[in-house]
Amino acid sequence: MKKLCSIPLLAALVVLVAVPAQADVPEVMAKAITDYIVPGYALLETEAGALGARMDALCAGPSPANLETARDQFADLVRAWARIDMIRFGPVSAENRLERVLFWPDRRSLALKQVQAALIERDETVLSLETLEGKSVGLQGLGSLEYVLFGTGSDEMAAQNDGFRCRYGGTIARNVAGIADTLHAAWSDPQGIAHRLIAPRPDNPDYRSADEVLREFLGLFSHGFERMRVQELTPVLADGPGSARSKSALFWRSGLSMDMLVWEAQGMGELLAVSGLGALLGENQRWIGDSFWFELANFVATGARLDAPIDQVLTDPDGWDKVSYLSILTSSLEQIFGAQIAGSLGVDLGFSALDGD
Amino acid sequence: MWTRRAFLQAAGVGFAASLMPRQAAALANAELVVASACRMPDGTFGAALASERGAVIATLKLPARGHDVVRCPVTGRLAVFAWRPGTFAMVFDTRGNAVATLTSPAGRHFFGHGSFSPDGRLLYATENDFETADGKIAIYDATSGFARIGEFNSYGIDPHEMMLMGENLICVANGGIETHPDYGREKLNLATMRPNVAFIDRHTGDLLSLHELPQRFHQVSLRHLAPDATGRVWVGAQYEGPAADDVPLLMRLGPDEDFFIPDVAPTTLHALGNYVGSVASSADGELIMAASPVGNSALILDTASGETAIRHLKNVCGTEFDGRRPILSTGNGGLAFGDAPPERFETLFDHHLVVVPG
Repeated sequence: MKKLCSIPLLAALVVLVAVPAQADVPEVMAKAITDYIVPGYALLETEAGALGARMDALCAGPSPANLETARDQFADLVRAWARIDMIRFGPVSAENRLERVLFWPDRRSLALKQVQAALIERDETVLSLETLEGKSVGLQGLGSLEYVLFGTGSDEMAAQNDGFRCRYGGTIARNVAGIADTLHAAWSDPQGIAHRLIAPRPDNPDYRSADEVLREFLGLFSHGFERMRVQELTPVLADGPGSARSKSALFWRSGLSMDMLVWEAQGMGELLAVSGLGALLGENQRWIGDSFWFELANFVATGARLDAPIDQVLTDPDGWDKVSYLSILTSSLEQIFGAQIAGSLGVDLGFSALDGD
Repeated sequence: MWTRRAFLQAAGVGFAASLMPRQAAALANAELVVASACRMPDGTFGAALASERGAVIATLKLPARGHDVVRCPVTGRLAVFAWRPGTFAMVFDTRGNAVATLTSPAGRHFFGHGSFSPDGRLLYATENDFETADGKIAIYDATSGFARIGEFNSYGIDPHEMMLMGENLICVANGGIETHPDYGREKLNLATMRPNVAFIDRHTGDLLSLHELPQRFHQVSLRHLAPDATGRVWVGAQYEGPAADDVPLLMRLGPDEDFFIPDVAPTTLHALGNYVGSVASSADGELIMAASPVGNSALILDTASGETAIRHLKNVCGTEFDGRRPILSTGNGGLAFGDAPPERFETLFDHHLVVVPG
């Protein structure tokens, strides 16, 4: 379990000042992109590159210390991804980039089977970046990297071996770094998606008005919290401590399940603060921002207290109750964006829109 | 207001202005009624019959959100199907009285669509066998309390809208997106999805033909259907890739005929936001309409001339024709007939609507 970082909750509250609405949407988007999304992908690239280097060191010098260093770096990489994984539109939705970084949930354990097969069969094609990026998404990203570093047989990387598993891990890390580089470049392109979000025009293929931009941006938060609940919490909780399914949790092997949730929530808080979205709310709607920060602080504090592997957390009735409380909080946070903030800004996130039917 | 509406006016929109006063008065009194799943003013879910003049004629309470409403061509009764991944469907009459409640069997849920057989004896519904992700078409017996009497494969994942064509043929749009109730509505296979449109013998369940777009369009989820006058089907699609990509959203095919993608300018299609929530065809089959709550727009294509018309309407999705007159409903409670501004309701309409003859 990594030590959880704090977020500037009080500082963020400061941005919730009374400034009326949509004329400032371009400024909000410019800040969100320049000060959060672009640096977020840059950090992802940096952390993935660093893990590649750690894996190289482990391959060259197998030792418990080098394995531990690589595992620690994996946590840093996961944290970098958690900060930015709420971005599900734009370049990450092209060419299966999202799934190549993290193919999850994997209901049928397809990726696990593929990774295990690659390791058992010593499939040399997973060792080359050029061939790996053309293979199944299940072999390419953080899920397979977690298995390499924490799955059955991973401890053997600390001792002398043929280095296959280690080299595969390094290739995955470089693959993620490459995808992050592509995403960073796409979001940095002055004529790319950033431009269309900051300056929507009727003849744009995607964002034609400030209303559409705001809908996309608010949806990022409401859908993000919804996704945390339906993907990461509900399937794991099941009906109670006796039936909880800890192995359905994201990153259970590395013990990062709870960290991931907290980092995701913190990321959304940070993005909200950096963007200055709260400033679009009027004076008499400031309570909505206050509600958000209150619920987010509850989420982070509760999650941070669950400092144990997810299976232990869930079999303890008190731990299960706390995880269940996190699920309730995600509903509340989703509603704050999907109904209250969106309603205050005149944006309809949709009884019927954006629900994929 | 529809843009470029010349062909619409010629066909019927705005034609009331050309009528004699007595005829116009008679027309004004002739109420058209539509049915749609909806969210009630108190936040609960239901189905509603709403009139052209802004009145709610009847309502039916539902246990959760509904999706499409279909009409039995023989009895006039209506069936509303639960929104994915719901497990109920309700049959009701035009006064809002429930006739039967259907529940999908264990391991299945509805996808929100279905269809009555031409003789009214059977009700078909698209279902998800969610452990295997195999699409199913379930058969319910309308003559025996809507008991579930069978099923067959939809020949794909995520069967969404289906329709009957003539006496013997079922057409189903397999959207290709795997979901499982454990993960709500999350999409689990976007990297590998393979949507298709299947034509199936409704008596045997045999696959007659199956149509896929080229691999580069594998994330174009084929979801909604409307027949035309020539025995072919128009398909409305939703794209799972980047919003800025230009992909086919509206296309036609037949049991023995591959996809035809009409030449609509990308800038026109952009109004749909890569998301078609419903499609409809005019009675003569010449006009095809697609609506998008994402793009807040509806598009009409004149299949003969290739001319298009766009109407911008917030949260628009439900589409139907009264002859050649377009009808649109919105998630904000709007119901627009022809060229007129929307009538406003406190009920919020779901994605689909059906005309209920008087």
